[in-house]
Amino acid sequence: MNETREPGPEADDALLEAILRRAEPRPQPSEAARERAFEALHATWSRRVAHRRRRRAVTGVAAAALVASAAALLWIEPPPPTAAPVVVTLVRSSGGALEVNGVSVPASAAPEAAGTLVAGDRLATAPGTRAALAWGNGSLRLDEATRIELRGGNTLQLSAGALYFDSTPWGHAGAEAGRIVVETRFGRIVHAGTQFQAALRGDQLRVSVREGEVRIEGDRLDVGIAAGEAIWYAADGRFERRMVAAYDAGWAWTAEIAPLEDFTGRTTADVLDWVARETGFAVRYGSDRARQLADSEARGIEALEPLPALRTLPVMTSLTLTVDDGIIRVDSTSPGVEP
Amino acid sequence: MDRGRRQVGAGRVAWRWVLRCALVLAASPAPAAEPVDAPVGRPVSEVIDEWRRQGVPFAYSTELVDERVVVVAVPRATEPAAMVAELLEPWGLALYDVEGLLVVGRASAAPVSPPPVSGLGDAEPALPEVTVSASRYEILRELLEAPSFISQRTIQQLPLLGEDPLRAVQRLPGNASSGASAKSHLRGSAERDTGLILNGQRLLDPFHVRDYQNLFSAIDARAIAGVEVYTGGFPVQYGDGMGGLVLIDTITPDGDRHTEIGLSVYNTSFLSAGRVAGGDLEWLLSARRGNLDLVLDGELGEPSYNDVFAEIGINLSPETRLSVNALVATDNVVAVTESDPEEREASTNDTRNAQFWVNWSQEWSATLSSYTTLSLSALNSTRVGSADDPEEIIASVDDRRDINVFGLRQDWRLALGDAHRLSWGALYRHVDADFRYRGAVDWFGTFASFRGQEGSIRRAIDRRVDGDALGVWVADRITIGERTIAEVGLRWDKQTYTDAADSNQVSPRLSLLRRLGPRTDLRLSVGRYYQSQAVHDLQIEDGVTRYFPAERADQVIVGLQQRIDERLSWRAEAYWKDMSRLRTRYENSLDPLAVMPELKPDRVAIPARDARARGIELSLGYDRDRSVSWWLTYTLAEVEDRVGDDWVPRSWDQRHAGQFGVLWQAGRWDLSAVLSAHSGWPKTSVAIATGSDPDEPELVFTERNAGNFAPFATLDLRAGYRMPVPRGELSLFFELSNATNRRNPCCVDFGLEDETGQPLLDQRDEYWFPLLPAAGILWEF
Repeated sequence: MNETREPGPEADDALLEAILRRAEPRPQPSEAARERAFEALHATWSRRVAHRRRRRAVTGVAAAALVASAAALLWIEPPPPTAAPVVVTLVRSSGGALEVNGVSVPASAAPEAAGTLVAGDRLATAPGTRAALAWGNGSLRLDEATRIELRGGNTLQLSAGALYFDSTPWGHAGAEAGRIVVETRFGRIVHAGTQFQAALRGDQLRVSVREGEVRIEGDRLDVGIAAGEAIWYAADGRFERRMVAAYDAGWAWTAEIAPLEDFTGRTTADVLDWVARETGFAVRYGSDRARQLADSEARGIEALEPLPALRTLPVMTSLTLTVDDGIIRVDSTSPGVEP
Repeated sequence: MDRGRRQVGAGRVAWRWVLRCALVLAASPAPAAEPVDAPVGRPVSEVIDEWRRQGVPFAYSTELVDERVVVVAVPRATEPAAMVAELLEPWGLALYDVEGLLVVGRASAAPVSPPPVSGLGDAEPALPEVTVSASRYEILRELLEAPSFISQRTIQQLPLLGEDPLRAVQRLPGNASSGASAKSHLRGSAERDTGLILNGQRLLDPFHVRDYQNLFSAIDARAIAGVEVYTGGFPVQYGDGMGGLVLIDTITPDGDRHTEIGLSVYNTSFLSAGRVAGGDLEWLLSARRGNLDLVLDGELGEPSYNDVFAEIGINLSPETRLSVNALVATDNVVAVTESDPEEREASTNDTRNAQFWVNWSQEWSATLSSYTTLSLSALNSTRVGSADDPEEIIASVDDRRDINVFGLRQDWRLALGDAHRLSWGALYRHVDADFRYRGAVDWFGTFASFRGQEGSIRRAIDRRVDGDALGVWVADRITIGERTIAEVGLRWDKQTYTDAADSNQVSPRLSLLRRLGPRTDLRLSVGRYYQSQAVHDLQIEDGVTRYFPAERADQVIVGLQQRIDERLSWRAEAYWKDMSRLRTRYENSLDPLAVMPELKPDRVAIPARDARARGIELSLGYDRDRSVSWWLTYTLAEVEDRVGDDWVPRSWDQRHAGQFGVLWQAGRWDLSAVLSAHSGWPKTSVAIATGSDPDEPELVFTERNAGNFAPFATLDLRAGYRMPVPRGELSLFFELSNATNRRNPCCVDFGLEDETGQPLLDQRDEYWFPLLPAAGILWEF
């Protein structure tokens, strides 16, 4: 069902509701479809594992030689530098309180008080509290009831809760992508150009990938996760892989704690791009006219999160936004050839 | 060792947090906001930004609040939200509380007449300004979404005969029309006193079925974005006119391609609009074929007509735009007013009206812009008619006209600081025309019975006209204090093709706007308006071979408008118009629907040199977004010619006129109804001359326009239904004009009988259009 909004406050609540409705779990596919999808994924995964095993066997001997060579190189060359520490700052928090190195800080004051975090710093969000950190050029978000500790370099340890990482958040597209390594008791989570989240709830790890690719490297688990996939891995060895949409409900909290952007000099199109980046929606313009209108400057909405911003745009412009199946369709309401 | 350092480090970190938190929590709240100045002329965005810098959470888009949205009156409020809301209101904008922000958006409902925003000309349609001139009605209710134009959408919702957008003008107070013609009398003016400007070009007689009441205009309602109307008091750049002005702009293509195919009782139409090259190249093509020749009984004639409009817009840069326009209308109309072979009367009109113009719009800087129009127009018309009724009239006419007009016009606009906005311009037109008229008539029987009338007329006239017309104008819009804006203008015109010794005209004009309150505006317009005789208006069919000096009208208009709330508003206007230097007008006293009017015995010359019109117009309108709109108007008016020492009502004088209209949209249905009524128009009758010979009675006209026809009333209904189809959308409509089939008298028919030995004058009324149903279908994709 399409939801079209005209500018005007009376329509805004309905728009938000419509968007949130879309954030609800999608209808589940049939059992047969799920089975087919799983088999396809499993086959791919099996081929990767088999290929890796063959490669290990074939290169076993060569590996020994390489180790010897490496040892020789180390003997004559200085050790490579460890990963340079990234600059980590708390940029936004919401909810009740954060615990920084064991000290409880009201969420409203935490960004200003926290300053730059360094290795060894511990950060914990209370239930109902979320936090966003600048992680080098990347963006790190912590869901409620999450505990992390900075381990130096670009590594942190996730002890509980959920985190989200965007290596190239909106506004940093031209910069070098942020890098992060997340250590969990199930293994290390590494990535290549990505938006992903890792959740550690009880005895289960869930990793979802919106963009790019992620790998979990553990003692009992070594798995790659592509965009649009999510895996569940339990301590007892149970493993499940599912498809997950970029705008699945599981991503919703990440947009709610998105850093508030400075849109000074930015256009409505920029705001839409930001919303799209944060929500997983795609933006489609219904006409050149709509695209043209979106080039106007949007001022004053830097205080808004993505979804409220999306709700606000139709009020302040001549655009209507239709959200359907993960696509924000942008149309013009200005005079012209009316539908 | 490492473990110990980490513990120590953690302890330092903990104290660091404690200290920072204490400092942050002890921080004082934001200081009180400083007052923000909002002088007239300051961009509203600057005012908002200044408040934003002080922490007031305003949000807006430069699309709606661009630098042209300026303070038009110093606000009374000082509190941020109230102040900004006050600044936004004249621009059709409002503040909304969205997510804790004060967001600037369009006002959700439009008043019955526009908020004080409009452009000085369609040359710059995107330029909202305070409308200083009174009497500019913008008919439809969606004005906040399209403040400069009557909405195309609403035009299509209205019941309009022939889907003719010009008939929307007839929904205005101050209009007098019979419903038959697409032309209107605005505030007592003659039909010829109203100019029609399409995309910056004054059109040369753009009507179909011109010999029969100018039944339809050559403007496709689907191709236009809207219509705006000055019923008087227009600025100097729209000179050379003393009645009203209708401004029409075509649609701007909104997508890559849009196509419409329509079929109705009146037209078969095709429209294509779109954009290519990233929107830098736009096109609009509208082609229509009139269907009346297919649906009309062949005994009544065969009115065949077509028109094509094409526009190509080229955005050469953000500052430069060219648009090439062409309008070609052709008529091949056979009108049969008497099909009996023994009394046959018919007329054929073949007309080709081709108009071509190029607009060049240039923004030289943020304050200086120009608009240039180069145009070529050619009107070729052949009218051939005959009447063969040996008992009354034997007549023939052969009327050929070839008219060419070349025009160049340029408008400039310059903003001088905050207080002055200067505009000036000039135009040059070269006209040449060839007229060849042959007319002959012999009257018999009753037609030959009018006292003092010769029994026949023979006219053979050739006339060639060649000359120029010049115009220069300058105007300054001045902000006076906080609540007053004035515009003073002066215009000079000259024609070299007239036969007048004095062919110079100077037209001073003054308009004032005084804001009495945040929702109440008072407007005053005083000015002199000259109207030269258009080259195609040579009255050659009545034997007139000269062009007369420009006619003159001195007008005073006072208007008061109040927006009661977002949906309801009222407006009152009073006008006085004194017309002088009028040229002789020709009318048919009894039957204005004749197809060879100049050869009928009721043709009279009205040698009025002066005329006067005055009236009061009241309107009340309600608009609830797009669901329900209604309007109610009443006009008390009078228009008279001074013939000799007598003041004689003009033939369209209507003392009382009112209209109630309602538009209702529900889902896919659009329903509308318009009830119009006015006092009966003046009537002239026929009488047997006193003392005439009973065997050969003579007829005379009664005192001209001394009587009145019965009041006129018509109810027009329209229902439209839209439904999606696999590709695009399908619209159906059904329309009833004069739904009650009321007999509204238009004319007087007469005859002499002699059954009892005494002459008996049989005289009865004839009527305007009866109930006319129409239906159509439109496919958009």
